[in-house]
Amino acid sequence: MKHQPTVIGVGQTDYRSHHPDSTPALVQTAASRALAHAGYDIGDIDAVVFASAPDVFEGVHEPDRWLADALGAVGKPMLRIHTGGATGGSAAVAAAASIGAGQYESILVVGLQRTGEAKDAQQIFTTIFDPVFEQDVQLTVITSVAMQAAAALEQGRLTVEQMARVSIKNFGNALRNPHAHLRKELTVDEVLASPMLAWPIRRWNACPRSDGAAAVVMTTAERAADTKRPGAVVTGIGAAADVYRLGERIVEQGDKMSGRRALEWASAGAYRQAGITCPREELDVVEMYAPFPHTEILSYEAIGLAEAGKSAELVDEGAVEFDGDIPVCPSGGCQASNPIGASGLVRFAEAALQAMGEAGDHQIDGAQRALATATGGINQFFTCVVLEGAK
Amino acid sequence: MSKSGDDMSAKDSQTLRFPGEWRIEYGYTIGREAAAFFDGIRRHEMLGSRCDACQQVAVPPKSFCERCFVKVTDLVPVELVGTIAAATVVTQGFEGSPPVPYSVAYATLDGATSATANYVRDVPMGEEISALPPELAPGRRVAVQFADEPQGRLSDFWFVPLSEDA
Repeated sequence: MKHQPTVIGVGQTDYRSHHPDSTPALVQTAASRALAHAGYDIGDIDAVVFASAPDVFEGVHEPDRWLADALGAVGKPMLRIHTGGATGGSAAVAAAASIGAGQYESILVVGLQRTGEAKDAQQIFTTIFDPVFEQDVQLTVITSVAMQAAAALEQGRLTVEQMARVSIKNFGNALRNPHAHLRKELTVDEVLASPMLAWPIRRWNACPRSDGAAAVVMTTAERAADTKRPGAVVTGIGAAADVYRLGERIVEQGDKMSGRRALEWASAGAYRQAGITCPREELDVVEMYAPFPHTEILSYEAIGLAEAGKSAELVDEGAVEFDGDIPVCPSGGCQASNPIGASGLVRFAEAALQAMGEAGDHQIDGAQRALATATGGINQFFTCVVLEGAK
Repeated sequence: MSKSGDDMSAKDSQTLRFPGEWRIEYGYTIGREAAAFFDGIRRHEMLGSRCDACQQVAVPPKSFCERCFVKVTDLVPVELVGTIAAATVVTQGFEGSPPVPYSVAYATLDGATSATANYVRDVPMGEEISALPPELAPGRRVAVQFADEPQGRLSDFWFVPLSEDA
């Protein structure tokens, strides 16, 4: 890349069930907090990238029209990005690539979703499946991830207790994060006694429906140095898409439904660019997009933290805990707060804060190098970004 | 970090909300492959699309092979029995869902190289689901059953469990 894209500002709203602010107010709040954090005003921004996933959540078609002025985009180039849950990750990648190429010097990236407006989120999710061959079976996010989890359990790749421990870790880490939505101390027994949604996904194995917005200011390393503020440099970017129908991915993967080859492709790309050969040793912290504990566990090996089939050992060893050797989601992650179109950008922003040393109560001591992932479309779209503290 | 100024207002549960509704009718163009697939079901045949280049057979069929990135026109029948790739029992209903509990699975029919989703009927289940019913474990065999009066929809067929050695 011609320039090193560098994050210099992060802004987030609180993530809540029914945030009382209007949607334009939400994105404007996140954007202005990111600008303030960067020491910028809106005049310093050259372009705006907007991340929001299914319009059906807000019930306003073309939210890019609705929110352009609240995003500070008047008079500037503006782009909307949508790759399902990976939207926020894709938006960060697009902004970083644009800065890297020298097209714009400073970009404001804003992610939004309010998943609490519609009466039933799972009803919305039935519409993201194939209208001819899948929708009649009423597939949803919950049923499809439940099938993946059930298959992984039957294959002996994880246990319901390990899933519970990851849920406990994420809701517990969220207690350190004032923006997080679900902040809870839980026990394995409480998780395993919570209502079953679809085997083996229980209430406390799932993410909440969150409203919220997040924003990031990104610029060149040169401009970042001028601001005299800590920055987080994007040193590696990877992204990959997979086929639409879940049933077609099965044939490609020895480990059936639980495989996530596109995350392997995306992380390999990011590591290659960042010069990382042993992720578990060379990364200090991971902000992973994983709204369910089994998706987190199965992703450990996909991003190279564990050997194939050995992901769950990281849970048993406590390696991914807040004080473990490779903490995953110290912010509480998507399991604690999931404003979908923003969530990938939240992972990116939290990874940037860790690399800057500005993550507050959930800062991992001495973190220098962080990985942020994003996942969308029932494991169809992935992004991986490595961020490092600016020297 | 800036103090989160929305904390106070977020505690106010009296958020004002307007009612709204999206109700839009569609007619989805399903294409030749899907039309042939549903015609096949009327003859009690399950059709897949076979790629000339890599010999992969997609069920349900599609008009291209994404691996070779070529058009696919060959439709071939596959067997009416197959193997469960993944399955679950849904225990909490949602708008538009069938009555709970119900079983849904991806199964790979013999001769196909991809799995297709449908309900699994006739799975013995109690009120409380504390494990995956053994009939739904990956690797277990299922058979296709056809509806008496096909409508040209996915509901024209479903799966039923077969005994372990079938």
